[in-house]
Amino acid sequence: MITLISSDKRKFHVLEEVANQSLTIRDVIEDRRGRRRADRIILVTNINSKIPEKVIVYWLRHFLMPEEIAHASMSHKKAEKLKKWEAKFFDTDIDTLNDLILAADSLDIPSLFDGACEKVSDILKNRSAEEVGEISKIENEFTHEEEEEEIPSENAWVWRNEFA
Amino acid sequence: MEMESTDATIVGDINLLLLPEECLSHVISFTTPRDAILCSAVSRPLQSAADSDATWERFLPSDYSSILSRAVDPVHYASKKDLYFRLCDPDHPLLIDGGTMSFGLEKSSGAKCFMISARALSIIWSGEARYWKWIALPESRLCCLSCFQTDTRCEGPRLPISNNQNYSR
Repeated sequence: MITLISSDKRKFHVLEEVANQSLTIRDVIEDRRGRRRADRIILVTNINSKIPEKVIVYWLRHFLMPEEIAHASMSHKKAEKLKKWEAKFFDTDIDTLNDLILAADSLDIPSLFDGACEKVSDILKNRSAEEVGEISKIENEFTHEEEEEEIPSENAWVWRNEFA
Repeated sequence: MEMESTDATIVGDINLLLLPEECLSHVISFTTPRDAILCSAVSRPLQSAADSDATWERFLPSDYSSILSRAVDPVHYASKKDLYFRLCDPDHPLLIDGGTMSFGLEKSSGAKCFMISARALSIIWSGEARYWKWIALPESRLCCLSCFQTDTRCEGPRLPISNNQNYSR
């Protein structure tokens, strides 16, 4: 059993086989193998307690079928079910998604990182220039004339919106 | 463990800039080249993530380096974004395989486009001057074959085309 401690000092007990889905944790466990029990406690300092809960839920769902995922031999029905589950899992507020991305990045959980990034990318898809400016929450610093200069002519197709 | 369902959708009050640049690049790589260009052009804070090699690497076909190694003239590029636009230029398709094929990308989707020279096709009796004549057209970089017979079958090489792309346009 591995114990994860979040930044707000909450403890999470997880099976080693389950926590191994984090490549960072797997490496730490590997380094400390054969040592005292106290060394099986891992501090996850940059993550608040809400996120380990989500991450562990994600791990448990994926733990049941790691071999099948690795060999892409999952049945169509199972794959559809997992896809539906993931859609529900990632249907959450943006702060949680941001935290999940940071957690997946620091704990090195590639599939969680991809899933959360893909969900966040939806907010940038098929937007107008004004909307992207709004989303990135920064006043459009470019003046109109600068804008003309800034955008190379090769990118004119984006502005003509010919693929909308 | 049952998951709590939420009705939250991601609109409105979003601050993407809380994410470090490498994460932001990964987020943008799930959009399209058009979206990435817009992010880069509109928002200074998003610019370097949207222009990064990590983002544009994913818009390029996965086997792009092996295709580049088949180029007649070596391709020089400053960044992956630069390379993407080099390969999208319809006026300068990349000649590969000793000039028997040209390669390019469809700009909005990054789908692979190949143009095959008649020299790369197996055409029945193509060596027979009675039926065929090899001609060079000044506006074409690839070799052309003129046909004296309309009912002709030919076979082309197998191409590693992109998945899930509609080529029938």
